[in-house]
Order: sequence, then structure tokens, then C-alpha cells
Amino acid sequence: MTAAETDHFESILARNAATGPAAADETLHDLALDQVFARVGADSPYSSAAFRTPLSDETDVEYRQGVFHALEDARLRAIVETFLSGMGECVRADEETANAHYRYGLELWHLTAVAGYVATVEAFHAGLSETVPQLERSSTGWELLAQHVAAHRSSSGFEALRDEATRLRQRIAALEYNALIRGGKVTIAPFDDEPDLGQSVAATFARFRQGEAGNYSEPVRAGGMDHVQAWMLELVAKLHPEPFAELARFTAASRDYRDAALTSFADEVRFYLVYLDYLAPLRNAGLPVCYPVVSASSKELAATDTWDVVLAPQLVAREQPVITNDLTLTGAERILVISGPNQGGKTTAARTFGQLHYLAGIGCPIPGEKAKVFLCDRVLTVFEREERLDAGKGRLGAEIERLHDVFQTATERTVIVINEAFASTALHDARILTRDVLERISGLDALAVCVTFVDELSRLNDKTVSMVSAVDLTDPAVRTFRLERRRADGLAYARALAAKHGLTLEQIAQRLSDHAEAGTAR
Amino acid sequence: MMVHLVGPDSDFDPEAAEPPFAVDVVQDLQLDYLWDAMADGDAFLRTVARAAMLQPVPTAAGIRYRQAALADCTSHRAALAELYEISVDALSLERGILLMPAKGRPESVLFRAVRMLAGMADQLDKLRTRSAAFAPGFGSPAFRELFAMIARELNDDYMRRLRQRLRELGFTDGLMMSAHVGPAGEVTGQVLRRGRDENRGLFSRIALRRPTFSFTLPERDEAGASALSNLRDRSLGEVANAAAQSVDHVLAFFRVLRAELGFYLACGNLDDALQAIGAPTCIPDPETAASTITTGLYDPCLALRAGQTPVGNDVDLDRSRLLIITGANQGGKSTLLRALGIAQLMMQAGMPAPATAFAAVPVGQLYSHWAREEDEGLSRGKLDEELDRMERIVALIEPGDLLLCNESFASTTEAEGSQIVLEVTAALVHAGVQVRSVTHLYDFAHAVDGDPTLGAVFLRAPRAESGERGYRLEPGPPLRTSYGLDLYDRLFGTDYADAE
Repeated sequence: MTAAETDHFESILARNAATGPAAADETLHDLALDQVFARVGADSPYSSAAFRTPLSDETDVEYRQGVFHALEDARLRAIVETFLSGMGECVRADEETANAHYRYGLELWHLTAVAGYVATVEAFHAGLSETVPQLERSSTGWELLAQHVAAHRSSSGFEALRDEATRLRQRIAALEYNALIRGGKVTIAPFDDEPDLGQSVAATFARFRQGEAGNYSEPVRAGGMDHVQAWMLELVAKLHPEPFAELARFTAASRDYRDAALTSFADEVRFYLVYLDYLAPLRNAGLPVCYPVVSASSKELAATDTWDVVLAPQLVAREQPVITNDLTLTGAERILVISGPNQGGKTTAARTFGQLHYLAGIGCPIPGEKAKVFLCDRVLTVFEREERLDAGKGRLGAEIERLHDVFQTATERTVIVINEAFASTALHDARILTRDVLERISGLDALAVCVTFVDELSRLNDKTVSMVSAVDLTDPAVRTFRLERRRADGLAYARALAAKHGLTLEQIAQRLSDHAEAGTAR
Repeated sequence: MMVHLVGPDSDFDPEAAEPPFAVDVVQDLQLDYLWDAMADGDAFLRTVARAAMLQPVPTAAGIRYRQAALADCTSHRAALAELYEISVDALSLERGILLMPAKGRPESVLFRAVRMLAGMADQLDKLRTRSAAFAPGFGSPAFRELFAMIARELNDDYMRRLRQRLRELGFTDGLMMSAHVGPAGEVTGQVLRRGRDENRGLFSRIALRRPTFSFTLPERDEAGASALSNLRDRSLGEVANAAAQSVDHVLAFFRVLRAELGFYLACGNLDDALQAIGAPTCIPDPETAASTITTGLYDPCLALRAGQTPVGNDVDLDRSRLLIITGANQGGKSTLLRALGIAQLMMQAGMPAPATAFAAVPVGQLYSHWAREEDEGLSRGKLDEELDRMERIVALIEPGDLLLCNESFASTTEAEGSQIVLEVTAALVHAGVQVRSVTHLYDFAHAVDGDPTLGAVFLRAPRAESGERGYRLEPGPPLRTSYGLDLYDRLFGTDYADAE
């Protein structure tokens, strides 16, 4: 761990500030992860940055995994949600102080903001101090935050703020007065405990009651303050001057009341909430999610029953099954070469490979039963994309340009995802170019997945592994979308299809012999 | 002020959700014919009749309570009609003022409510005067208590107070309220108040404690006027709601009164219709029988439809919870099964029974499981559909309920069907459910016959040729005859059925 590590709370996103370079839009788009993070608003710049920035340290990954894991506890989750809505109301009340152009308006809104803040911190402290020690998996992030909140709460400044705000709120809320409206004239007078007219009416007719009556008091929109109410407020203050004088003194004395670390926490924690919310319906649909073992030293990959985090919600929404795959790289293996029939789940598997590394690298739980993933420095993608068809370079030109960029940036710690490269060239050319690319990747010792129709390249060297999109051999029209780790054999699918139509050699031979028999019988 | 004409401590709600399977029961027992007669063309009475029969009174005491009230109504039909009329008039006020918005700005809600309440006060006056006149002639607990309640609750003192409230809701001295300071300084927590007379000044009608501070909106301050009007509306909400709810309460009272009087009116209609065809009825006995004992029982729906006096059947189940009806087709089996169900529902609605004598133990809920035509659900097998329906009934049925089965599980082979229906029947009967079952499944009937723990009673429909109309069923164990053989015999002139 670096010297930057601290024993006090800095951020729920990391113990130290060190991170790698931000990921390119291109990568996020190709892996479709931009859809996963779409719900992080522009009002949460720290969370946005966290999604875009891979971590470079195993302990930071662990830190975030701990935070994630704890947030899966429904109690902690509820505590955080309550905190966020409380802080949101504070911010709105603060904004109102600037708009309240009437006597006592600014002071009253300020009091609302402070009272809301105080209650929010109190509830947050109570929640954290009860829940954090009981967490199933202890989390440094939550422990440091709980300590920080406890310290802030017991500071003398906060205590004074709390006591004064509470007392003032109660005083003002307790004020009661009478108002008489006759035509355009409004009279304010002391309250004298007069009988309630509505209750009298209700009591008179209650004897007819057979059950619940309807509700006719459609809430009339208050529409906020207006000058009539402002004038009434001034008269009420004349009737009860002392609480309003105290309010003015309080406002002057408590201008800057919010804790900076808690303010940024409200932004940062959205990183976790947005991602968990994204996963929630998928988990409910029965898809496995796990906390990967992330290693900066081992390039082995072992992901069991993993799935495409962006395709899955569409399938779940349509109530279609989500196919899971096992993706593994062991020993010297570095490159998955995927071939097989179209619409067999090849692109999905390649994208999943990229997503796994990216998500694991920003500390997220990932799709799969269990997983061991290399902590890469970045994920680079080469996807055929329409928008690259610019400047008259043509598809092949754009593709080659992109590949060139990739090899400029890629290191031995990079993950490269190549989908259907050279699809627009002749087989002979594609064979050569793809071999070259794969050899470069091998030379770099980077991790990669390459979807290609040149299936013999899966046997290029000891770093390449062949995976084939499979079909159901009893009904070849049914794609299983499941990939199998086996020797690529481009003929298997065609043979299966033929069998379905009764066109294999054996079938034709058999049929002909039947015909022959029928013929001789006749 | 509870009407309680249909139960010592309950009222019925014609709009209440119907019990599950009500639709099946209505269809299987063909209750529509009965309700048509009860309604005599009045859709409201039909609704009331339907609700009363589908919400069976579970106790003998409750049934006796209605029987007594019905007896009162039978001997005072003119008074019944007049009381019914008052409730109908009170409810029609609602239609007269319907043009005004029921919901919306509190000020208009309040205005409408006050007008409605004034109109209803007049109907309440009428109700208490006429009730006082009718009271001496009625003897049932239901009507005695109703008239006493009206005299007690709508006394002179109360009626004076009611009209005083209506005056206060006119706000001639301005709108007076108490209020609090909201978080932003807004007027909040308004409660309209009745001013104290001792606070009224010498020269002012305004009842406020001193000191007072006031302002008057400038003439042309339109924003101010609209803000003030908004404040008035916000403050009137509670009172407008209380007034509108008061309207609801009074309307609800008249609605219940109308529905319950309507039920007895509908019973009178049915009585007229049955008398016209010479069909006898009796006051059923919910107290003495352990199961069902009846003589001259007939299906009133069939009688009303045919317009003639039906053939009655005798059934004596003694203590048995299980009746198995077997025998030839067209032998009146289903008719008897229906008659048993309808009579049970009529008794438990407090109505007369379609028989010369009828005694039965009150049941909780009535369920029916009829073999259905192929029309529903082409996508699923008939057996599947039957099993599904039985599964849903078994999920709801309780000990003390009554299940009528008509040819259940006849849609599969006899061996399979028998096995299924035997297990269902035995389980239900042992659990304390009353079961009446029409069946062609000999295996089933025979197995029941051989199981003394079921204590079944058997009735058998005679074959068509043995009686002229063949509707009278006789006690007797199942015969190994089947509808198929019968039919075959009839068409081919063979003799297989008798050979069995």
C-alpha cells in the first residue's frame, strides 16, 4: 500500500486517490457499459469518474468490494437511502434561502435546512453505529465512515447546532394564532381554544355513519408563500416577537453548517447504488453475481456461468432465458479465439469477456457464479462500427487504424477485445491479418478475446484457446448460445443442419436403399 | 344509526364482493329465474336479492331473525312500501343536485353538501313521523329495534342541533380559523373555529380575543385576492370534507334502509309469483336437522320457468353428510341437486323454502362443481379444466360448507374419474363438508356404498319408462346401469342396461 493510505475517512470510493487513466468512450460504448452507468447523473461527478476510471491497486478493489458487499445488506442500504434523501432536502432548503424574498423567509428556510441536516446526521450515525459492526463481511470503507460520522456528531459545533435548531423549531411550530377572513380584510388575534367547527359538524352527523365515507378534501395546492401570507406572518411576529428575534441570531451564527466529507459521500455512494440497482432485477431473475478474486499478478481467468450484463436485462424483460458461459484462461493461455455459426452468441461472449475485466477492475461484483480475474490497466476494443466509416477510409481502413491505435496504447497488462475483424476482406487476407494481430498480442503477452471466422487460428500457439458457439445437435436450428471450449470444426454446424433436413450421406444412402427395396418389391 | 333489518348486528351491502365461485353457483343453480321473479322488473331489487342469497346467514338465530321480520312485512305490505318510498326519495336528492361538482374546490363541495343536508333533514323528519305511526303494529325484533332507534336518535333536540350546524356552515360572520407557522412561514394547520360569544366586543360582531392586528388588501391587488382565495380554500378543506362526509353518512343510512326494506319487498314479489303457479312454500327449519330433511322439495327456478306446479321430492339424510344421486338420465337428478342448493340458499337468506317441509343445518358457503360444456378453453383438456376448478374449490372450502357435484370428472375414463372423485369426496366428507353428488360413475358410487365411514345416503332416478314423468327419485343403492347403455338401448332397442 502506498504512503497515501490514511486511517481516517477520505472517500467511500478509495482509501487513496491513485487511479489509472480514464477509459475511452469507445470502450464503454463497445462493451455497452455506458448503458449500465447511464443512471449516474451529472450531479454526481465523483461517481461518474469512478465508473470511468479503472483501479490500479488490488487493495482498492478490495475496499470497493467491501463497500458493495455491505450495501447488499438491506438495513445498511435503507440507512444510506434515508441519508441521501435527507441530504437532498437540505440542499433544496438551502436553495430556497436565496429565493425567499420576504421578512423571515431566509431565516426560516435556513432553519429548515439545518434542522434537516441535524436529523439526517443523527439518523445516519445511529444507523451506521448499529449496522456496521454487524456486517457479514467487514468493510474498511464503512468502518472509517462510521468513525468519521461519530466524531462529527460528537463535535461541540454539531451539538450546539443540533440543540439550538431543535429548540427553535419547536418554539416556532408551537405558535398558534387566530385569523379571521372577511372579504378582503384579514385579522390576526391570539388563539383562545375555540371549538373546532369541522368536528362539530362531523359529530352531528356521525350517527348516520354506516362505514367509511369518501374523502372530499382534495388537497388544495398551497403554492408556497405569497405576499398575503407574508403579511400575516409579519403580524404573527408582532403577536409573538421573541422567537423571531432568536431565529435571526441563530441564522447569523450558523452559516456554514455542513460537513464536507459527508457532502461528497452523498455523490460517491451513488456509484454503488446505481450498479446494485442495475443488477437487482437480474439477480431476482436468478442470474448469479459474484465478487471476483482480482489479482494484479496472475493473468489466469476463471469465470463460471458468466453472462452479458447488458444483454441480460433485455432478455429478462422478454422472459427469455439468459445463457451463461464459462470463460477460462489457464497457465500460458492468454487469448480466447471464438468461432462458430452466426447468432451463436460469439459477440456476446466477447463483450462479456471485456465487461468482466472492466467491472472487476473498478471494484464491482460481476456476472457469474464465481470468478478469478486479472486486474488490467485498461480494456481496449475493436468493434465494427458504422460511425468509423468516415473520411473515405472505408471499413477495412478504419479497422486497421483502430488496431494500430490499440497496439500503440496496449501494454502487457491490457485486455483487448476484437470482434469480427477483417470481416470485409477475402478469407486469404483475413487469415494473414488475423494471424498477425494474434501474434502481436502473443508477443505483448496481453489478454485478449478475438471473434473470427478464421477458425484454424485458434490453434496458432500455446497462448490461444479455441471456443466454439454451439448448436443443439438434435435440432440444429436451435442455437444454444452457449460456447464450448473445444477444437474449432467449422463443419459441425453444417452437418447438423444437413441431418435435420435428412441430407447427410447416411440418410441419403438409407433413403435411396429404401426406394430401391420398394422398387424391387413392386 | 344502524338499520339492522337483515341481522341483529349486521347490515348487508348489495355492492359487497361476491364469494368466490358465486358466478359458478349462479350459473349452475340457474338462480337468474328466481331473481327475475324477486325483482319484478326492478333492477335494484334484483341486485339486493342476489346479494342476499349469495351472502348466506350462517346461524339458525340469524335466519329466525329474518323470518320474523319477513312475517311482519307480509302482514304490513303498505307500511313497508311507504318506508321504502321515503328512502328512495332521500336518495333521489343526490340525483337532483348531481349537476354540481361532487369534488373540486372546497367552497363548492361545501355548498353542495349544505344543500344536500338541508334536503335530507326534511326526509329524516318524514321518516321519524311515519315510523312513530307504524311502530305499534310491528312485532319482530328487527322492526321494533329500527323504530325505537329512529325515535331515539332523531328526537326534537337533535333535529334542532342539526339545523343549527347547517346555519353555521353559511359563514355569514366571516371565516374564522386557528393556524400555525409553517417551516417557511406559511399559514399551516388551519382549523375552522366557532367563535366564543364572550369574545365579541360591544360594537363588533367579531368574536376574537384582543389584541388584534389586521390589514386589508388593496382594491386592485389581484394577486393578493387570489392568494387569499387560495388560503380560504385550503382552510375550508376539512370542514367541506366533514360536511360532504356527513352527506355520505346520511346517504349511506338511507341506502342501507332502502336495500334492506327492498329485500323484504322482493321476497313479497317471489311469494306472489309462486302463489300464482300454485307452488307451495314453507318456513324452513334451520334448527332441528343435522343434515337435510325435506318433503315435496322442488326447483323453484324450473317451476317459474315452466309456469306450473312441479313434482316434489322427499329427501331424508338424517345425520349423513353425503348424498349420492344415481340413476337414469333425464331422471331429474340435476333438478333435485339444484333444488337442494337453492332451498339451502333461500333458507339462509331468511326466505321461505320451495318445499312442503324443509329442515337443514345452516352451512357456511355453497360451492358447485358442474361438468362443463366444451365451450370454454379449447386449449386445455376437459379433465384438466375440471381438475383445475376442483383444485380452486378445495383451496377455499371449509368444514361446514356445502359442495354440490354434478357429474364431476365424468370427462375421463370411469376408472380414472371414479378414483379422483372418490378421493376428493371422501376427504371432504371426513373433514366435515356436506356433499351432494350426482354421478354416473358406478365405480365411485359403489365404492362409497362399501365404505361405512362415509355414511352416505343414496337416491336413484327411475328409468324413464318406469314412471310417466320420471322426476321422483327413490332411495336406493347405485345400480350398475349407465347412461351409455341406456342411450344405446334406447336407440338400438337392445337390452344391455337391464342385463347388468
